[in-house]
Amino acid sequence: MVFASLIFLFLFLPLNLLLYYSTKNATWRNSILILFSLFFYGWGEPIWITLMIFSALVDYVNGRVIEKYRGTIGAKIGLVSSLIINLGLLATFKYSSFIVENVNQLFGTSFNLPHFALPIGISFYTFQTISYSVDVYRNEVKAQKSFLKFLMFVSLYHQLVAGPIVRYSHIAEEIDNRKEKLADISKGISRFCIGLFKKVVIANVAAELVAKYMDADASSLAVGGAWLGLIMFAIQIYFDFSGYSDMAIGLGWMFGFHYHENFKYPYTATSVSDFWRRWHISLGTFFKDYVYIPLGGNKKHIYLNLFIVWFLTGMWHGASWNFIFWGLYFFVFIALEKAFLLKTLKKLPKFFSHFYALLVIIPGWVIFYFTDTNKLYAYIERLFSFGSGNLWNVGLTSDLTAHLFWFIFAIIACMPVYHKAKAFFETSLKKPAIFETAAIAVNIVCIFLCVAQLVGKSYNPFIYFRF
Amino acid sequence: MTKTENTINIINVTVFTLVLGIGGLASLSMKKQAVSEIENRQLTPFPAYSDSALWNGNYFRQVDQYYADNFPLRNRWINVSGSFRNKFGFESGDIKIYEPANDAEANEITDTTKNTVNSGPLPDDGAVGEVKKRLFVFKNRAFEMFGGSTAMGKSYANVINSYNRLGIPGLQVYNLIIPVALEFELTEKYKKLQKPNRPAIESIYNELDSTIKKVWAIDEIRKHREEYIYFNTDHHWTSLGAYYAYRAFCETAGLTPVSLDTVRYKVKSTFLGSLYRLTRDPKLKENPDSVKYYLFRDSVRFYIGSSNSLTYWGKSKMYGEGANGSNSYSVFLQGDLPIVKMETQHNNGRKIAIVKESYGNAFAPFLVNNYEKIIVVDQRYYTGDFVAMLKKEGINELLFINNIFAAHTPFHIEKIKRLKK
Repeated sequence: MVFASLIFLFLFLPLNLLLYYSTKNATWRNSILILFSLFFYGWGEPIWITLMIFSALVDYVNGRVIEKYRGTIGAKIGLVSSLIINLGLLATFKYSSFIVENVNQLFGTSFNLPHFALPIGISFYTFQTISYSVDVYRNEVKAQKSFLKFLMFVSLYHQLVAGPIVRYSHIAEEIDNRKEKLADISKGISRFCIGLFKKVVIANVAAELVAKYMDADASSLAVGGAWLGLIMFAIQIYFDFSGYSDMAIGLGWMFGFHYHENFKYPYTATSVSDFWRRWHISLGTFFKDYVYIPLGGNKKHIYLNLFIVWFLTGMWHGASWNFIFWGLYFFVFIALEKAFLLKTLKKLPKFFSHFYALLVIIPGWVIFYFTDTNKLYAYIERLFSFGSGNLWNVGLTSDLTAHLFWFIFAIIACMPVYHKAKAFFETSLKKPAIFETAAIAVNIVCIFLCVAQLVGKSYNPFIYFRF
Repeated sequence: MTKTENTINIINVTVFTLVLGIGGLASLSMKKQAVSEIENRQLTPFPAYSDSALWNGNYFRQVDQYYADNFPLRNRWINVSGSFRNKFGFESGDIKIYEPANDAEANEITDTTKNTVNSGPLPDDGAVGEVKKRLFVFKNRAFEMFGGSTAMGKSYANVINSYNRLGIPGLQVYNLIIPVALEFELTEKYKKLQKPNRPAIESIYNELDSTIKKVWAIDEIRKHREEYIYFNTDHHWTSLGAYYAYRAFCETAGLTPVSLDTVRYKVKSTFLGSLYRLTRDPKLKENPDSVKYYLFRDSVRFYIGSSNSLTYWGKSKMYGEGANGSNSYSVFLQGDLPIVKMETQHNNGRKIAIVKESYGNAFAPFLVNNYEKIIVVDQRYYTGDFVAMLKKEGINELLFINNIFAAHTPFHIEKIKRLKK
């Protein structure tokens, strides 16, 4: 099941809210969340519920083992077993085919490529449980004694299939002791509606143009068309993923959880390093806290550490070399920035830094998009074949003008308009009530327009879904 | 928190829960339809349960589709969505290009239950299985843009050849490929938007066996490009367009075409066809089509056959006069039935079978002026023993008539190939 679907909006969510708030008993509430979460997950792929529950059980046990045998070898065993099992699951289900293929290429062997179906959300929940085991080991958080509560943490439908990667330590208190407040529920609703709008009205529309241009035969495109397609993809992936995170965070608020922000207007970044502090923040911080810093951070062999982190970041996105290259593409720029570039950029007007950042990030998406290297090269070639004589065509003008207002809106929506508006009403006008009341109307309009788009449309892809 | 803030929060939560809750209740209690008129397809039914469908996720996927397809006030929502989309930008110049994002029609490929004969004509679904086509709306007409590959055309030609080489004694094979409307409307400005049709047709005809007779309908049609030969809002040709193809066919087949001056006709007005459905462009809505169909003097005995029997033939009428609105094209031959037969009083021994998709429907009726027997087989739906049927009915002429898209679409080429079993 996905959030941006009619069944979720009109059946699943209202029923979930109704049942949850029909009881005051915390255990009942947790159980309801678990049941709904398992149903949500099972709706997409019933067969993989078992794997997810297994992963939760493994780390529940490991967590308790680590705590019980703290200070002895037992704790280490608990940690290592958690890492091995989780990474093992990931390696098997997500990377086995990729690994075998490369072994074959490297050693000239011809092993059969294993073909495992990729369970939804495995990249998210394995990382969540790994972070739990490590945090328990580091004594940053107490092991969860109730399997029910732990299962709720792992399976919670808000963030299970598409993030953010919620750290146990961030919501440990809330798992045990939630305080659902009316103000939070209200905020959550508004947040959810915005996320839904981003996904259905912006991302899904961009996706149509992406399919039209980026899936076409590259040699048939005008140069302008290739760029239009790529920019549309940059729009699609941001609004898709951040929209989904918005909905996850909003849903969390509706039930008393406070997940951390996952996006902070990444396209306003002033450097590549800055971009990665704004994009998919939960992933960046995961790699920072669990890989970069343990490796030594910026204290020893910084560039090697950065290389490893970006190699892994790229690889997390998909079992294909283009994702790894995409990660390493950022490694190059981040390394340059750390070496000297950031200092240089600070001396220039902000506009230049910003322009530089977008110049690196937007074209970078082409590496992310194509898993087939031939198609990748063909498309890159098209992007830069300015001398080909096929720069623009009538169809492009038509596409652009037909989406012009929408496009302008999308660009503005990349900027912190919402926050600036809110701050304006709160601090300058000192009348926050106007903003809050307007929000109610905006929510209804969002739902109305999104329902219209969703009815009868089966074209509702989510890019980060296969992660 | 202040009292005002608290009130606002209460209102926000209440409104949200009411909207979702009422929507949910409405969706569960309102009556479900089976067919969507404006989308011209059958709406997804509630899936039958099976363990395998449950485990591989198909069951729930279909429930999702079912829910979306049967959502209350569906048509109103679709209209809102269309109007909303139109506000995303504006039109530059005269044209607006559409890329239909949702090929929902293509999902109907597996629906072969059209053997059931009911009182009204079946919805026309001529777009089934065709390559996703780019459309453009120019002034107040919609056009499909052709872009098929030469290799695919050759594939099509090979399949036609295989029928020629079946060794059925005395069987004369014909091929007639129908161009798209845009072929005759191109100004220099828009020429690059599609691949020229004639060279593509020529390429196919060059691949065909020399004993196959090729019909140059495109040349005959071109002479009449100023006339109402294609619909403005639908991807089909009008019966007039089909008539000119019929004239070209007669020339190739050595027949005398009937003259339209002497034929009575009837008209179905306000037809908004497939291209309107796909684009929902307001300009098309203001320029609806009319479907003219000719009432020939010949006494035609029209029968609907079955894929499952070579001997079953149920009496019916050549025109489905109950068709109207967006279904109007189904007036021809009662829509897309797997196999129909027409017998006339012309005892000249000429018996022809036509293999077609929906374009052939407007064409076939003209043949009652020249043939003793006409069998019309829809390549998408007929699953019977085609060759046995040809032999049983004593067919001595076989015409493959396809629009240029179908001739370049793997789906259609496969279907034609599989008729042979």
